[in-house]
Amino acid sequence: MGRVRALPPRLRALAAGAVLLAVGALAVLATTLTGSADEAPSAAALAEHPGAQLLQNPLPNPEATGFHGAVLAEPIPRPDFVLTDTDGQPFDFAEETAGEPTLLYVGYTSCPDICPAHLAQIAGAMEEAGLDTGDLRVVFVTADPARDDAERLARYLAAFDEGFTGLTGTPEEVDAALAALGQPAAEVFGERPDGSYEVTHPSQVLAFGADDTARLVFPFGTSREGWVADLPRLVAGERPS
Amino acid sequence: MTRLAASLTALALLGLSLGCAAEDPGEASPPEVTGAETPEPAAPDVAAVYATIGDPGPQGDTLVAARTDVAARVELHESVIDDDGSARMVELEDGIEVAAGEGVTLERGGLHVMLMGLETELAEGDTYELTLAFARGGEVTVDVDVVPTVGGHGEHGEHGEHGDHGDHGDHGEHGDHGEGEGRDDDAG
Repeated sequence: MGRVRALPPRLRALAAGAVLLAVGALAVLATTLTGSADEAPSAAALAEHPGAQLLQNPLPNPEATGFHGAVLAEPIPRPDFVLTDTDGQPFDFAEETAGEPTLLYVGYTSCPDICPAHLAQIAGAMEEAGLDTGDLRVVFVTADPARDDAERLARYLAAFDEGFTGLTGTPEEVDAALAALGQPAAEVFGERPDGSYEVTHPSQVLAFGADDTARLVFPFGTSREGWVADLPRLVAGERPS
Repeated sequence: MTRLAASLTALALLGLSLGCAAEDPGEASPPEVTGAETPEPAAPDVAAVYATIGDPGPQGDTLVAARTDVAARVELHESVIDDDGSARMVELEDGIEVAAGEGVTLERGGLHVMLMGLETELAEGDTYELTLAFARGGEVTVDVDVVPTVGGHGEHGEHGEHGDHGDHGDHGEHGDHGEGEGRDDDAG
């Protein structure tokens, strides 16, 4: 990309077109793999990421798959990003959770409806299934780092389960984490006179297995029974076939 | 005349916003509201209220506003899952339609009353008063129960794994009543 930038604009456009035509797939693959945290990934790179399946909002089909979560056609690899946990320590997601069944959800604490309902459902289902965060890691990444500092995040998650992990960071770091998941950056909307606002975020919970890939995602509204049925199987290392 | 018309308009709007049913001095009464609850908020400043609003009668009604002493600001909201799987909330400035012969359910992941700027800590077991204003039926004040953050087994029963997207479709229909066209574009 650097070489292309050095050319005059007209040549640059030509060159960019040629590059895209000739080695488009390779370029996209390289961008995805190198995943620079400083630059927003291109739309093409996001579209090539297996995480782009989430943007199709895949539906569960328990009769066909035997799972209550939605089974992804292509596994999503455990994403590589570094944020800060609620103790203020760096948290390298891929490294810290490697080999462990892990639920990953992106939301924000000022969200009064979907986020707490999702987290309550997960906490309640784990309790019912006899699982704790030693069996199944639950990681909540804030999409709203400007308001969700470590203290607010810690207090929020403790209302559901003391063992849930909360991650925050700079807006750039959070966007990089979303990009590592193949997700577009969170968008702020609905600003009010008092300064409050809302944030868009993926509605699904990703379920990574011990094999470090996610084959299952849970849409909002997954029933308690569905969670209770699927989570022990995830922990036991079962994978959708 | 113009000033009189303006005054009358202002008066009518005031009546509407207060839910006084100024246009209908008859027997209109607010629909029955049951099961009003707030999960104990995990965040210190925001909370949601869910409830079942009963059949408002053959003419239907609209929930236009809500207020409570426990929060600085109260809005009527709908959570929306977009086609791309992203979640966001929409403020329903035209209110929430309460369908004739049916009523409406405010539930997790759908229509809800959002409390912002909580001025009282809400803990499980507490009860607080919430006043709901309807365009036709006027106001009703209900007791809202603060329920556990992590609810019991039946908490989410209405959201079967099949029903989920269907549920959101239903909310979309409610939205139609609320003249919310273009709402899905709000987030850009």
